[in-house]
Amino acid sequence: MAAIATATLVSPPRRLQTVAAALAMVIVIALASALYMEENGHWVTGMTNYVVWGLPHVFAIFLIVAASGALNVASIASVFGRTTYKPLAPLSGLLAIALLAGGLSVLVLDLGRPDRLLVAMLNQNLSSIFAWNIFLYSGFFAVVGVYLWTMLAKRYSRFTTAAGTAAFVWRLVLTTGTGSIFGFLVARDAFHSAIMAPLFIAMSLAYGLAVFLLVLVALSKLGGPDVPAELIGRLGKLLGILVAAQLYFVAVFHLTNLYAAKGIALERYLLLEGGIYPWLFWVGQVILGGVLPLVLCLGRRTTSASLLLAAALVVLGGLAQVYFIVIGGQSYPMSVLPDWVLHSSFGDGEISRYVPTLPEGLLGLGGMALALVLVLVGCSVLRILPTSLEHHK
Amino acid sequence: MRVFRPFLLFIAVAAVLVGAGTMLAVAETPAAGTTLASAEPMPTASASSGHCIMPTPFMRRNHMQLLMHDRRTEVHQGVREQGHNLEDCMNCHAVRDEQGRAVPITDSRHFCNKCHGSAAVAIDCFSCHRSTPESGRANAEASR
Amino acid sequence: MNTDRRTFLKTAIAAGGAITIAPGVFLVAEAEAEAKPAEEPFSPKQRWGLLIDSSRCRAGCSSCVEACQKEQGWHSDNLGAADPQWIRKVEASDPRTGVSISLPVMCQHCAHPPCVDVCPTGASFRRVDGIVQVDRHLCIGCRYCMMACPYRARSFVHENIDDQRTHTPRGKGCVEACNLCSHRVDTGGGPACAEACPEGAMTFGDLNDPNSAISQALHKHHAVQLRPELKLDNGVQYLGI
Ligand code: SF4
Ligand code: SF4
Repeated sequence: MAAIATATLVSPPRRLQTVAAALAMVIVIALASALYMEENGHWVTGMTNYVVWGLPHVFAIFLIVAASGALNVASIASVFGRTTYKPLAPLSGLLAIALLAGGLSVLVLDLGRPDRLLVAMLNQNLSSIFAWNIFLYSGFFAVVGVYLWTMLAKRYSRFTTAAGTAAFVWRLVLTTGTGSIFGFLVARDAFHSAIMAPLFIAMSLAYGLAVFLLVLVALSKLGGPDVPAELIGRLGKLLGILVAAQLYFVAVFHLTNLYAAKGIALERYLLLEGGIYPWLFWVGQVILGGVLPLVLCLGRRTTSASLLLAAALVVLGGLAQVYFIVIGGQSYPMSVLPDWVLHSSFGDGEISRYVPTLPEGLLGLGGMALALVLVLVGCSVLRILPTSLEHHK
Repeated sequence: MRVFRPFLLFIAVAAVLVGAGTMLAVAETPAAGTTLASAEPMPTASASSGHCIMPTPFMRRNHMQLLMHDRRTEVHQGVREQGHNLEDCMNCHAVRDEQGRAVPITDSRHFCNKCHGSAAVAIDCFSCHRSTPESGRANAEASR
Repeated sequence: MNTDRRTFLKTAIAAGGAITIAPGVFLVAEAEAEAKPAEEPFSPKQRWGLLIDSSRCRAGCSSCVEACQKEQGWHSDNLGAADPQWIRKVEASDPRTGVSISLPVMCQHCAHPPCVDVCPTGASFRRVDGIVQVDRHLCIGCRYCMMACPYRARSFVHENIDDQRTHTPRGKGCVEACNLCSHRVDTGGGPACAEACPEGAMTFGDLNDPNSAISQALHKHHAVQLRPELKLDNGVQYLGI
């Protein structure tokens, strides 16, 4: 096997610095927002006792789910032995770590008591899916970290396949765990479903690849290797297939709900009458994030530009989808006496409103910026990127 | 050398996470200025009995262990022991202002701030616990 | 601290206070479980429960809610949906029959509590005597328990607080809910809401003691649990639904 020439990112200094500074600014603003939320309490956000998870969780879950999918390219190279993707495997691993770190930071900074992170580490309730996830996330850092190491330290390259396989299995389990955070909620019809885990895996594959594609092309503008149109074309086709798979699971999820009588009212709310949520579903998730990318990726004539547009749409549609799942699901009334008409001073029987505020949105964006900064730092100090992608066609 | 590069990355990730956490933890620390001049803080005289449940040197070193232990048994096992809870600390050690009202923890004169300010050890107790006596009993005793 | 209340209860019992459970049923409270000495741990032999007779509960009455606020020190800060609410009055009508009922809803003290299952740190826990509560020392404010609770029984403290009751620590960033007044239960009393109800619609007692008023009533009447399909085995049960 021919060794792949790699290098650290060397870009026209001005450009890299400008981008890094802009991202750092976003992170600082996010930290300030988090501080503001913690100082005043969560009433300054749109989150309430009725809608307890809001915009920060949308961003965090998107990033965590995308993290696992960002490993796609590395898995194809190391697990399925497609050597053409080998030069991109390290970036794939780095991006996975960065996205996870970004998502977790948002999640942690939104806690009511982020200062008690250590408490969460030291006291674990083993029957909690959440506690398992803490273990799965730390393990993901370790496993992907080792995998990266075997790729970067040529001496250990004989372990790459083994480490890559471990990372592949680990990320499937991780996304199953993330999906189960919702799937195991027996109390809420909008979440309680065994399809949540596979749906999340399908989502992760699509989001992760879309983010990877965008980051790869962005890096090429910052001193990374030029990305041949042919490579974009191949990744774009794969993205199309993953988006199709994702849409399939979405369809199964809602059709299963519609099959049971008790799910019909829920689906009517989510898909037709629930105010903003049907819009997010049909326009955001299905058309912009699903059908359009599908046409762009799998259509007859594809260009690099159209494929990148498709990737951007998958990211936007993905955010809409996570918003729809997390917040739409919470907004649907959960009745203590199903089929009765309820009134109370605590919003029983009513649709819960959620209006996000600026700080929580900024906190979420900060997570994205952190992920990108980590990619930049990683590419600058490590030999992540190949010098050229051309001759690996 | 190459081999250690990934570690650098790890450390960078960890540093950012820990840094963010610390920033918030620091934000929880009582505001600067809570330090009191006295290097050897003395507890205010106990209102009811004139002495603490344990000698002062012991309490200075070990009050946190006592509180820690009792919080476990009280919250999880329902042991409501008299004389071994934060409530009794607050009742005896209340510092009163000119109007005779017990000062809350946000006031630098609060008993706990006498050491915690200069020792720069953040107190987490009062983010939930009341820092002043509440019942009529303690107030009555204090004014006796 | 609670000696006055304990004395009150003892006096009430000594006086042979009779509790009306349901129309036409009277129970003498003398058979209540003996009080636990305050300085001893509670016993796994007990399971505390609450029986609420919605046929006696009056629409528009909120004595129980007010008693809870006073006892536990929570109140509205005009934050709307972000205000805490440990107990609420729900007015319900059945569209099929037109029947209307009124009932207080609080933490149902599930024997298989979803909130405890999901809590990552073990802050949500179920005491061996059946009371489910939050150990605020461990709560990180993730709100997963609120996602999991089928009764929306829990509140997250969204604002700074400095007027806690001494026996009820509560603070920004932690989750809280009805704890059946565990501070009173541990010293031999019962929940403030049950004591305050002017209609005597709430009976507190030991579900494991066959002689307790609550057990006897459950024996005679068909009580229901909210959302029984979840099979959580609630400590709070209802009559008249
Ligand atoms: S009612 Fe809700 S808060 Fe109470 S024990 Fe059950 S799940 Fe937990
Ligand atoms: S908010 Fe607190 S009690 Fe609820 S699940 Fe999280 S840590 Fe546990």
